[in-house]
Amino acid sequence: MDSLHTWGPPIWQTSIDDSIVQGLLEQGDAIRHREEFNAEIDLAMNTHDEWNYPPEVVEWFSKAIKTKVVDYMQIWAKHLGWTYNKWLSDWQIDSLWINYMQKYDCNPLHDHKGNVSFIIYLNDVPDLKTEKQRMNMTNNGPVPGSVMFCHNDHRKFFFPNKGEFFLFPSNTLHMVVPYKSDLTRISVSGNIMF
Amino acid sequence: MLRTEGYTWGPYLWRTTIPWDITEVILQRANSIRGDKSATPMLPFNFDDQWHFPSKDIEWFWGIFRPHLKKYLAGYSRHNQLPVPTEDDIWEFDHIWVNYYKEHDMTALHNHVGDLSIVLYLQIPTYTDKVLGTAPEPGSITFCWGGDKKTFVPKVGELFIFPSGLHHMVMPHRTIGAERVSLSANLYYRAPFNG
Repeated sequence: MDSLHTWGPPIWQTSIDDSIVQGLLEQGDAIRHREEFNAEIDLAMNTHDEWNYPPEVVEWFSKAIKTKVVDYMQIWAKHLGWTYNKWLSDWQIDSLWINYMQKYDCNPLHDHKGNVSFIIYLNDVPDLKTEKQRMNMTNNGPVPGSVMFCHNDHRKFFFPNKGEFFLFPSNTLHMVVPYKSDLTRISVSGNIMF
Repeated sequence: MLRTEGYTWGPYLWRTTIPWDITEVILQRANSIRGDKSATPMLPFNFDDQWHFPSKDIEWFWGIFRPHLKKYLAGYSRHNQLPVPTEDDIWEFDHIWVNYYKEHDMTALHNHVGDLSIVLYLQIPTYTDKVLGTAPEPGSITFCWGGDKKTFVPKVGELFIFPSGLHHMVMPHRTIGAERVSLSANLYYRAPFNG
């Protein structure tokens, strides 16, 4: 029997309920531009419109995504050849923040602290798929607004869609391709620690 | 006395500096071909201002580049515990092109075709960008391998040589009217390559 075995960081693409997306959006708008929630100091963007959620939102969110995180832990354990251990379910969200990305913003190559990190997209940005055609550009660059993960000499791109939820090992390098369209791309990021 | 040594491995990334007068001549040559033959369609940039050097310039550029390639290959061989190369004339350029970066222009994470690639900085403007948080400097180049990355803030005349498969990205700048000019090229080895 033929079989192909691949490895590298296990990036899991799934989705979350609309109610969670809506809750994150509303809570994000409530803390935006309030200096006590400014997340700038820890982040790699070249301009900053990023805000840390308060503990009560983190607690609500942890409960809301618990089954997804446990599913990912099992996927990760299987990927590494481990037996699923109880300690993998003993986790907590260390940080949770919202990103309002505007045209020309660049979120360069970076990784996160923690053990598992995640990204959730809170809005759709279909105009970015046609940006190059609309602006008569001929370059062969990736689709603007995509997130790009990298490991050794391999890359993977994903175009963001509302409600999509990516989980990955925190040390997986990734970046967001900047765009030139006049729109706001909203995402939530966070880190989980065992 | 205890003896300690550090061991590193991974892609062999090498940096040197070309004298400013030679860099200036290359910049003039680049400016003279700007607008002639676009290199944009083959490149993963988010802007359209890249231009091929004509094939007649390749021999001229070899004259400048050959001694640096020789040094790189000697280091590459040590790094990878390979025999020292005895000749360097079995390398050839595939493409040589120049990139003009204005404000907001950038290159997302990418690699190149070929066996070795180079980037040479011909013009670095003074940026007035405010650097926030942990963001890299405007106009910097970041190389990555595995979970590690290295960022450099290039100066005029600096030349990097690296295996073509090594991923890297360029940080955009926001200084209106500032133009950053770099030359890139890919090289192929015309024999089995121990890389």
